[in-house]
Amino acid sequence: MTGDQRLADLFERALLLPEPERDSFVTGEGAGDEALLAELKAMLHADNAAQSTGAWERPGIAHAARMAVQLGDPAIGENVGPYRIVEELGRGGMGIVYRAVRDDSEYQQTVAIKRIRRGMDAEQIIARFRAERQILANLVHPHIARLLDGGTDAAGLPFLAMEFVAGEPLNIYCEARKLSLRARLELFRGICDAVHYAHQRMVVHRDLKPGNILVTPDGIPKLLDFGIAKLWSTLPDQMPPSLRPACI
Amino acid sequence: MTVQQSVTYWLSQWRDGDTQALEHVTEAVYQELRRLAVHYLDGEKSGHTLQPTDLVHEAYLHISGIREFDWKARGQFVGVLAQMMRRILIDHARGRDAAKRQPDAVWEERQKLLSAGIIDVLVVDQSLTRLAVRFPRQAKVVELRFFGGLESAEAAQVLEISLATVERDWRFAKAWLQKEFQKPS
Repeated sequence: MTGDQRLADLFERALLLPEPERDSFVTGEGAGDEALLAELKAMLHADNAAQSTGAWERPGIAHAARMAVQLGDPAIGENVGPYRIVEELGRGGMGIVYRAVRDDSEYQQTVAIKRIRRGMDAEQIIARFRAERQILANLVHPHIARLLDGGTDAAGLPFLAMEFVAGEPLNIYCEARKLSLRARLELFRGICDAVHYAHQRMVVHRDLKPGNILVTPDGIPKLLDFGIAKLWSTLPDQMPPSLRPACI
Repeated sequence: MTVQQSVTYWLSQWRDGDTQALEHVTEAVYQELRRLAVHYLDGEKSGHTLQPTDLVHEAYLHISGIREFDWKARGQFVGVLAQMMRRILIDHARGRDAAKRQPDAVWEERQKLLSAGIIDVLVVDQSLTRLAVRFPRQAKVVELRFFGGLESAEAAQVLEISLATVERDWRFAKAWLQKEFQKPS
């Protein structure tokens, strides 16, 4: 068996053992061949990282695309109010959402920052953005991503700082865990509770979809993105088709 | 003849044993795959529509016009597509770094990206070339899975090896490459 074949063979055999036993196994098997031993140990160590990160399950093109977006965006690293922008989380028609950290003498905190897209800073859009801020300020519910802060950036444009939800979109969460019908209904009930709460405060979300509902690792659904929400009282008396029961 | 028709023609020639035929389709196929990839990469910035894993399938359908993905007959062709995808992504990434003009800043950002779960395709490419010298089959699995976006079962059919072997090779190669990432380049 060549050295490389041995490396592959020992790596494979080591993985069959429980983790605490691997080190002594390879030390015994690889005794006398320092280069092989060092490589094998480094690989077993790296295997933990490779298995725990989901990164390898995404194809190269997805990485290339995300990287192009991140490297190409001068906003990364920019300070917005007391927050520093770390990475882009997503973008919609008028806004971009970033993950940002507050890291000053006050405290450390990860937030989601929503800003207006460059070139979209028309007066109307700014007014709508401010309206969203007002709507969110009135909503405090365990299943709605909370508004934490707001302000204006260096360019004078408004921004929102919201609770950062480290979660997966509803549909992906359910599929990845092959959730039972009961578990799915439990999630649904939580979501309905949040929607009902908003409706009682005369707020209609108008864009409810799995991508706007994230589920945290503890299984708590959180409603996001009230970007096109409306206050019921500002809607015309006659309910437009977009607000018939199908649209919540 | 349209591109699609000529590719279909050459593919059938190739299937019938004309080994030269594959060379005839390569350029047309490369252009088509590149178009799809760039469309996806640009689309990502404005909310994408394509599923990245479907690109090779998509390209194959587009190019060959054949709806059924007959893996056994198309194995070699799909292998070529994965190789092309690797080249397209590397070219794209190189262009990006060149436009940035600050290699140190790029490197620093790259490390940050890695901790955010983003793998630099350039680093994979370089490490994979080294892996291929010692472990050609394992490197091939990475090319199909990572660059081609194929599932393990599909990769097994392309390489004509068992699914268990693909899974073993994939885990081995991931650990080997991951170990390389930790080294400063």
